[in-house]
Amino acid sequence: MHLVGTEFLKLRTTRLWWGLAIALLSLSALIAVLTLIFADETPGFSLREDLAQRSLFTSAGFNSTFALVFGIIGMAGEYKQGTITPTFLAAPQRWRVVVAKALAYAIGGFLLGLTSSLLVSGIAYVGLAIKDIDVVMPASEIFELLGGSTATATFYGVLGVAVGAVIPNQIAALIGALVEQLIAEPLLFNFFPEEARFLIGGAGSILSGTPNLGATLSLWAAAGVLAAWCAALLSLGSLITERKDIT
Amino acid sequence: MAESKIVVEGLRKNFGSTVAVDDLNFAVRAGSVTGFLGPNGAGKTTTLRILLGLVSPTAGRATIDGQSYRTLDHPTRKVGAVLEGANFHPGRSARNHLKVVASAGRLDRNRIGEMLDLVGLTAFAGRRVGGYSLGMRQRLGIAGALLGDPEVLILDEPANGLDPEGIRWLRKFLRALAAEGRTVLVSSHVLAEMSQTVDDVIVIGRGRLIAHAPLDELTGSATGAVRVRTPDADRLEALLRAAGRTPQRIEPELLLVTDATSPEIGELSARENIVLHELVGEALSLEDVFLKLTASAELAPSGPEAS
Repeated sequence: MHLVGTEFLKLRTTRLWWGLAIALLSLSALIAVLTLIFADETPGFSLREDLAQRSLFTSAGFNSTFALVFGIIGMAGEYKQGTITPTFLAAPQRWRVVVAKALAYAIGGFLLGLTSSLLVSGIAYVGLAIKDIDVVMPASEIFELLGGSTATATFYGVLGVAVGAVIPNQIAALIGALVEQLIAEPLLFNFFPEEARFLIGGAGSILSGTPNLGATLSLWAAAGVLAAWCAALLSLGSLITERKDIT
Repeated sequence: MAESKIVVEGLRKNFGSTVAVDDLNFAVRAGSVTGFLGPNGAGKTTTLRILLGLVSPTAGRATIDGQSYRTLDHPTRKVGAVLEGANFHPGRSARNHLKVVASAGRLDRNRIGEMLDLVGLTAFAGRRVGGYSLGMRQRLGIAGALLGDPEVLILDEPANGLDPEGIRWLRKFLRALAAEGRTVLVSSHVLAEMSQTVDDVIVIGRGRLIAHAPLDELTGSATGAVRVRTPDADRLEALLRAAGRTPQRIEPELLLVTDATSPEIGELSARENIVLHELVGEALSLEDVFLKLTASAELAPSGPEAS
C-alpha cells in the first residue's frame, strides 16, 4: 500500500513526530532518573529489591499515552488543518487512508515505545551500576516488561488513528481519549475489578506490565483484547469516515 | 454539442433542513472553460464537492466521463481540483506539500519542479506554507491540481485572494489550459474577470439552475438600455410613448429606454428633427445579466431595476 509511504512522508515533513518523541523521551528519562535518586528514600522501598526495580524499568509507561495522542493527531489533525481534502481527493476510497494510517501509526507507536524503553533500560542499568546495585530482576522479566510496553504503544498508535476517525474533531478526540484513559477506566476498575481486564486501559496495563486489577490475563490474551478493540474501533472509524461529508 | 465531460443529473443535497442543491442538471463540454456562477450560498461549492466525491448527494448523481469520482482509478491523474479553504499543513513547505500530493496520487514527482516554475513559486518552495499569502496558496493549489497532468480541472473561486495581476495571470492560464484541450469548470461570484475567461456560463441561485448558455448568447440575448441625451427630451419622450415604448426621464435632458434599440431611436429622432447630444446603447455586461437572472430567481417583489 503506497498510502502507508505517503503517511510517513507526511510525518517526515512536519515537526509533530519530533516534538512528541522528544517530549516522551525527556519525560521517561526524567522519571527514571528521579526513581533512581529518590526510590531509596521512600519507606519500605529499596532499589535492591524486585519491586522498586520493576518500577524503575516501567518509567517509560507514558509511551502508550503518547502513541495514542500521536495517532489521534495523525488522523483528526488532517481535518483540523484541512489537509483531509487533498488526502481524500487522491484516495477517494477513504477506508484505505484509515487503514494506511493505522499501519503507519502502529509503526510510529512501536518506535516511540521501543526508543523510550531502550532509553529507560539504559538509564536503569547505568544508574544501578553507578550505585553499585545488582539487577535482581530476571533478564527475561525485564525483556517482557520492555517488550510488552513497546507492544502496547504499538496498539495505542492504531487506537489513536481509530479514535481520530470516529471523532474527527481533534480537541474532542484528545479530551475524550484522555478522559477515558485517565479517569473513566480507573473508576471502572474500582467497580468492576474482574471485567476491567477487557477494557483498553485494563488490557494495556497487563501487557505493559503495570496491572492494578482484580483479575489478570496472559500477555497474549491481553494483546488479543487490544487487537480486538483496534479492529472494532477501526471498522467503526472507517465507516464513519466513508460517510462523512467533507465540507 | 461536443462530448460531455462532466454531467450533473437531478442533483440534490440537503444539509439538515437546508436545501443546498435542488434538482440541478447540467453538462460541461469537453475542452471548454465553463464559468459556474452564482451569488454566495447558491450551492456552487457543494455541487463541486459532490462532483469530487467529498460530499455525498442526497439524490441524483455527478459524473466525470460517466464515472463518479470515487470510482476513478487514479483520480488526481484525471481531475485536478483547487478548492477554497486551508488545504495545506502550515508547517510543511510547498515542495514537500507537492511531494505528499504526488505520493498519495502516485503522480510523477519529476513534475514538481516544473509545476513550481509554472505558478512562480520556485523561489519560495522551501518555505513553510504557514507564511504564504492567500495568493501564493492559490498558486500552490493550482500547482497541486496540475501535478497529475489532468484532463479536467475544477476550481472553486480561484480568483479569491489574487491581486489584479494574479487575476490576469489566472485568466491567461485557464485559457492556455483549455487550448491544450483540457476541460475547465471554474466557479466564481466575482464576475468581472469571468467575462474574459469563459466560453460557457452556468448560473445557479438557491441551488437551482438559472441559465446555461455560451457567454455571448447570454449577454447578447438580454436587451440593454439606451441612454439618450437631448435638449428636446419632452418631445422625444412623447414620441416614444406614442410608439408604445416606455422611456424613463432620468435627468431633464436624459432619457433611459429599455425597450427600444439605438438605431430605432436614432432614426426616429432624425425623422422628427430632434437634435441628439448623446445616444449610447449600453450592452449588458455579464454582471448585469447575472444580477438580473439571480434577482428574478430570488422571487422577491421586483423593485426598480438597478443598473
